[in-house]
Order: sequence, then C-alpha cells, then structure tokens
Amino acid sequence: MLIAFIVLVALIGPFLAPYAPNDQSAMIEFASRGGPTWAHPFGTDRNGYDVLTRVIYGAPTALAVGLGAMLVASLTGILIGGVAGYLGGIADEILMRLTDLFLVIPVFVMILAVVRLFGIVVVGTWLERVPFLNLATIVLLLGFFGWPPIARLSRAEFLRLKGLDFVEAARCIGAQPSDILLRHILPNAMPSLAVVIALGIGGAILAESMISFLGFGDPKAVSWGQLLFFNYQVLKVAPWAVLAPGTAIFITVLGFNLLADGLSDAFNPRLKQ
Amino acid sequence: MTALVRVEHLVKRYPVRQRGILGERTVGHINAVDDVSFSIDPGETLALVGESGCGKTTTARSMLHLVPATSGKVWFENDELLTVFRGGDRAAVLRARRGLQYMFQDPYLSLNPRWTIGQTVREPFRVHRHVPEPEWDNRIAALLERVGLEPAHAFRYPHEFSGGQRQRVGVARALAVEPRFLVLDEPVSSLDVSVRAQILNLLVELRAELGLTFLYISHDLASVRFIAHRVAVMYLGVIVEMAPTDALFRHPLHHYTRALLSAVPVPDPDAKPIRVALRGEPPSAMHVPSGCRFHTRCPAALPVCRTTPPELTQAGDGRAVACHNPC
Amino acid sequence: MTDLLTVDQLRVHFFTRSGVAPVVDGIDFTIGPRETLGLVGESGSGKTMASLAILRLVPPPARIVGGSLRFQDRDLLALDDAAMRGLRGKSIAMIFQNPAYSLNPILTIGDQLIEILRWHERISVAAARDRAAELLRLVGIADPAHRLRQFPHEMSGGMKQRICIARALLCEPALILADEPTTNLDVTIQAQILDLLEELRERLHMAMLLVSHDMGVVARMADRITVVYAGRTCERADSRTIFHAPLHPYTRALLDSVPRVDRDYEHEARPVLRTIGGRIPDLADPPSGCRFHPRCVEATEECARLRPELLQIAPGHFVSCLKRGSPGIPQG
Repeated sequence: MLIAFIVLVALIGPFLAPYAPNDQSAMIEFASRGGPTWAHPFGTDRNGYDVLTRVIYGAPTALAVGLGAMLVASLTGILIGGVAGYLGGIADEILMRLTDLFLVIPVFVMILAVVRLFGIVVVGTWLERVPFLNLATIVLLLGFFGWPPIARLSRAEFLRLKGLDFVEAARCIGAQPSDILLRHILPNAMPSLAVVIALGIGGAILAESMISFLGFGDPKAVSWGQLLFFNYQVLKVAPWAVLAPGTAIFITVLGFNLLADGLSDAFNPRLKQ
Repeated sequence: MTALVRVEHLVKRYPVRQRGILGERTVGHINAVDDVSFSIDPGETLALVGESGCGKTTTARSMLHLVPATSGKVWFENDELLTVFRGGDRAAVLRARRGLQYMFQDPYLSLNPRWTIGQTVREPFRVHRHVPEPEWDNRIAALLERVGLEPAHAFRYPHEFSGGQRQRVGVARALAVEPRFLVLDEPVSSLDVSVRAQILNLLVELRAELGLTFLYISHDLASVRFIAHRVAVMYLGVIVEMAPTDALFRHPLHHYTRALLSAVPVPDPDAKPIRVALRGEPPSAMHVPSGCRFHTRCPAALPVCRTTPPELTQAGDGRAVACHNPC
Repeated sequence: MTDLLTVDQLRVHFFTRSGVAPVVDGIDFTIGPRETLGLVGESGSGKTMASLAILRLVPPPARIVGGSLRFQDRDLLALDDAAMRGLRGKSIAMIFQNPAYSLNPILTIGDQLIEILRWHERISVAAARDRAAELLRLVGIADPAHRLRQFPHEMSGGMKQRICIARALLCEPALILADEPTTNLDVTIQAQILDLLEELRERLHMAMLLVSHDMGVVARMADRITVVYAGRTCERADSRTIFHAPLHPYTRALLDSVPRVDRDYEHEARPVLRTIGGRIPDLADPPSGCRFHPRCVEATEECARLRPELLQIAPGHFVSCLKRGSPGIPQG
C-alpha cells in the first residue's frame, strides 16, 4: 500500500508541484532558509528551492533508480543463475565462481570510484551533454554489482524446479528446453525472486541516497540524496530541508521492505495448501 | 505376435562421487539397472515390481529417455528409441514422444502449480500439433470428461483439486497425444485407499477402450495382481523372475518372489500365510554381492550361488527365472 | 479388566482465519492393558490428530475442544504441563510415520536415546548407554555399540524405524501409539518390523494403538478395530467381526475397494473394483448429518439431516449408521 502511495506521488507529483523545482524565486524574495509557511509547506532550502517541490520531484528519481538498478540486476542475475542451475556441470562451476568474484568486490567503494573517474573522463566530450548521464551511470553500476544475490537464488530455484515431476512431464511430452525454462521453470521461480527483488529496490534507493549524500551524485538530477547533500550544512538553521527528504527515503525504503514481506507471506500459505 | 516394446540389455550406471578439497572424485559406481531385457506385446500390461533401489523406476525412465541410459536398446515398433532421442532429428523425436507416454506418481508435483489444468492438457497439443488448433478446445473437454472430470474444470488450478482428481488430469495429459504405450509409475501409491480403486478402474477401462499397452510399476503387489497380465520381479538392478500374473502369485519360482509375496499383509485376520523371512537388510547398491546378488539373504542358497550369477532362463509356460535352486 | 485408555467423544477443532474445521468430531475407542487397537481411516479421518490428542500434542491452530481422555484412571485433560511431560515417553510413547523425520539428524543415536533416559530417570550416562544398547539388541540391531555412535543418515529406513521403536520402549511404557509405523517402508522390511512389534508386545505386555490406512497391516496386528471417517467413529468391533461381518456402509465399501493379493482377477474379462464414488470431504465445510452420506449407496434423506450416534448392536460391536438402527440427532 505504501508503494502505491509513493508511485502515485511520483507519477502525479510533477503536475501538482506548486513550483518548478529549479525556481529560485524564493531566493529573490529573501525568503531562503525560511521555515514552513503556507506558501512553502515544507519550507525552503539553502538555495531557495521549495522543499516540497523538490521532495516530490525526488520521487520519480528514486523509483527510476530502484527499478532501473533492479532491472539490470534481475536480468543479469536470473540469466546467470538460471543457466547455472539448469545446466549444471562445468557451466555451473564457472558461473558460480564468477558470482563469488563479484560478491567479493566492495560495491560501494567501486561505485564511488567509477563515478568520480567517469565524471573526470567525460568532461569535454560529447557525453557531457547526455542528460542525467551521471544518474544513469549510478543506476547501471548498482545493477551491475547487485546481481549476485539474485543469481544465487535463481540457481537454487532452477535447480530445485528442474527435478520436479511436472518438468519431467513436459520433457516427456516433447517440449524443448527453452520452452521448459520460460514457461515452466521461470514462472515458478518468480515468487521467491520477487521477494528478493523488492528488497533490492529498497536497497538500491538507499544506496543511491548514500552516494549522492557523499557528493558523488548527479548534480543535475533531483534526488533525495542530493537534497541531503545540498542542505546538510544548513542543518542547524533549516532542519526541515533535511528532514523532509530524509523522511521520504525512510518511507520509501520501508515501503519496499514491507512489500517484500507481504509478497513472501502471500506466496507461502498457498503453496502449503 | 511381434512385441510392441522390446528392451535389450539396458544398463544405467551412476558414478558415486565424493567431494574432496580439490574437487570431486569418483569413488565407485552404482548399476541401478544392470542388464535388463524384456518385451511387451500390444495390449499387454507388464508389471515391474520390487522394493526401493531395485531399479524399476530407473528402467522406466530410461526407456523414455527421461534419464539417459548408459547402454542398451529400446525398440518401439520398428524404431530404436534411444538412438532417436539422442539424435537431432526433432521430427523423429516428436514422433517417438507421441507413441509412448508417462504417468507420474506424485499428484502434487506432477502438475505445474501455476498453470490451469486446461493449460496443462493443452500443452501436448501445442507441442505436437497433431490436431488443428480450432479443434483443441473440443479435444481437451473430451479428454477431461473421459477421465471423469468436467470440462469446466479446465479453468481451475491444481491446488483446487484432490489427489485423485490430479491423477486423472495426469492421465488426460498422457492420453492427449494418443499414445499406444503408457508407463504408469506407481499411479495410485500416493492416493487414499478409497480413491485408488477409482483410478485403477479408470485405467483398466481406458486400456480396453483404447487398446493401450501398459508398463505398470509398483511395490503394491495387490494392485499388480489386479491390473497386470505379466509380472517381472526386480532385485538390485536385475530381473530375477518373470511370469504371467496368476502363475507368479500362485507358485513363485524365485525365493525373493516367494519372500516378497509372503510379506504382503492380507486383509483377513484369519489368514496365516507361511512367512518366508529374509535375513538382514538389502545390500548397498555400491557393493553388490558376488554371484547371485540375492544369495546373502536367500534361505535356499547353495555354494554355487556365491560364485556364479544365474542367467534368466525359460522355465516353460511363458515363465523365466534366474536361480540356481528355484522353488 | 478396566481399560488402560478410554477415549470418549473426542473433539479437536482447527481454528483458522477462514473458519473452524472440526477435524475430530466424536471419536471414541478403548484399549485394554495388553490389547492392540487398530484405528483405521484415510486422510482427513482425524486418526492422527486423535493419537496426538492422547499425548496432548495437538499442534496449534488446532485445539482439543471436547470429550474425555482417561489413562490409567487419570483424566489426561486435567493434568498440568509438568505431569503431562512426565507421562510422555514414560508411560505413553509414540512411534511416528516417517523415521527419517522423527530422529534428530545432528545428534548421534546414542545421544538422543541417552537424553530421553536421563530426562525421565535418574541414572548416569554410562548406565543410560548400557540400557540403550540393550534395547537396540532387543529390537534386533546387531552391534549396538557401533550404532549408538552413528548418525541417522548413516542408516537405512528399516533400521531407523527400529531405533524409533527402541526409543519408544526406553522407559517401558504401558501404551505405545504407533502412527502408520510401516507405511514408508518396503514390504519385506515392513514384515520384519511388524514381526518385531508382535514379539515385543508379547514379551513386554504392552498395549498398542496402531493407526493405519492399510487393512492388511491392521488385520495382522489388531485385536479390535475402530473405523473412523471424516472425524467421526463409524464402527467399533473386534477384528474378525470387522473383516468378516462389517455393518457400516463405509467399512464395507472400504474393504470391497481394496485390491487383494490373494484374489484371482485374471479370469475376469475386465476386472473391476467396487469403488466408493466421490471424494473425502473438506473438513472446513463438512457434509451435514452423517458425514458419509454423499458417498453412501444406502443414503436416504434423513441421513443428510440427522447425525447418527453410536449404537451397540452386539457385545463389543458398535455402529453409527441410521440405516443400521442408530439413533440420530438433528444437525445443521
């Protein structure tokens, strides 16, 4: 339910926001760092932006990050894990060692390093003009390093499912392996995978917030982590500027975790029955 | 009459591996199926009986290439199936898959839980396309009715049905491709007693109506007596006796068969069967006894039984037994 | 001879969010001091719940809601937890259906058996080990000292079940509850285990409740039999009466529908078994009146309206069927 709310905000927010996010009119009015007023329900932040607007605009960013990262992670993870589980043998060994390798890499540090490096490399090239490049990079990297847990689970599920009678029955009917994988095994693996993916979305959002908060984020993108980054220094004077995005992150991540819980509960009793 | 199905010298060997620090080592072999041969005539039902580990299920699975056999041949009509299954000719494989089908033991695992049973029964049509697509719905409805379900059930999911009903769906699925030969792998063992009779009756009815040939695998000798025309008894991977049903039950020739039959409890408190007690436990499949595999437990073992494995020899009246000292 | 165990109109209900399922709704039987009672029924009959209820081990969300349980003249439902714990394993012991699951996989056999002994009696570890070895020998296990040091996964199914039997006998119980003890075993091993149980029964003067769906096993082992269906008692009588002169339609149908190893089917052109139509009811929504009526060939309109009560037709023979003369009480 919480997710529905967040999604709703993300979708219709941009139409409801009282101001354009980059509108610095408040600054002109010397009203920056002002407390919550009727004109600015969440107050204004250090740069004169309306906090509410920016928080609202942060929502689609957060979702993009979460879903985008998990999309990359899922596709990679399911592919690698699934193939490993279904084929077994040498393929399995190789793919699992690859997974282990990726698990060992310190993801966070890597991402910071790559983003910084990328930022330096890109200056002066045509890439600089690609909108939201930095954010996209972060999303891709989060996905790129986030697939191992999904691969592990996929492998376990595919391994378990391929031995079940109904899969043998499909083979007996004459179905081809690609058929079996896509139509029999994958749909039955989805319940468990969905849970892990939901958790992953929350995790990705959190990770992006942390990256932005440390200053490695995309300055042109409106994200809650960015808001924290910008307004951290005025914490004492304008706490609302930090409180609002912080709460937003909390609610969103909590929402996805609850979703994962809910999914996990929903799939279990039916299977038991 | 030429046999419909002929199995020749089927062998299935499993390596036993142990995990070491540097990887896996093969420490031994298990011959789950160790040179098994038999034939089944059209319209006949042959039962494969034996206890766990005897290789009956592995034999059946190897015949349909659900498990790759190590060596041996399986003839169906005029084709050697294992060559077909291993080959790349998809059309030939599909033809073979239409002739022989398999019915599974576990009603809870043999149907895809995320598919409606209509989808499950539709799958064979989709794969083989032996019937034009507009006809499929009619055929599916007819199949469901034939096995005792209602066409409306096609829209429901497996978890909404009882074990007996799910087995019926399994029968419908197997019959969708119009096979001539059906492997029935313990089809009623997981069902309640009052439902078993329903499914057994259904199988017998279908057999008569469609002229099917069955390979019936079971450890439940009573149902075997009911449904089978001939019985083959397996022990540790080999056939020790084969005979027409009545003859086997009335007068077993192999000592293992005798012990097996005498161990089945009869639903009659006054019956006092003469128990042939077997010594000890079945040996591990990794260390098959020398000579006749059964000699370590046999009450009538002779010195020769320890050294020479007995061949399956004809014993008249369509019977065969592998024993140096038959009853 | 007073009965060792009396179960009277036992009721166990399953409480879920979607409603209450009366999984046991009136099961009764008695067991004398050296008797074996067969409790026969299929899945959903409530037989396993009834046996768990005797030890008050009914798992939530199920609860005992009615009836009486008396053992050695004590009311089991009135005992407190400590008293009940003292009873379990000592006076009443249980053997479960699947030996692989009822042994702790991470402890050696010796550890598990010794733990039980020391829980109930004050003896040293060494003495307990000796007792355990003695019992393993009693159940036919060669080389007990070696087996005590092994883990369950190192043993075959038959051997594990022997260990479970030995475990049940550790404190010399007066009553053993055996829930389908041989269902998962091969036929020859089953025969060996039944031989063993028979021998032990003689030697140790134990009473036994044998829960099973296998009519053959029950015919061999039981002195008296109670047949249950969908949580209620259908018929109670001694073994020979049940098999040779059953009265309740369910008992008759059950016996008729089982294929028999001693019957010749080959001379029939198309062999047919007498079946019971329909299927076992969902206990969340059981049939009204007599629970067997939807599948009964003799059912009439009153069978759907009235619930039959147990009637004593002859000494020791009870039937609950309106068509056999049982009184009925109206029930929705």
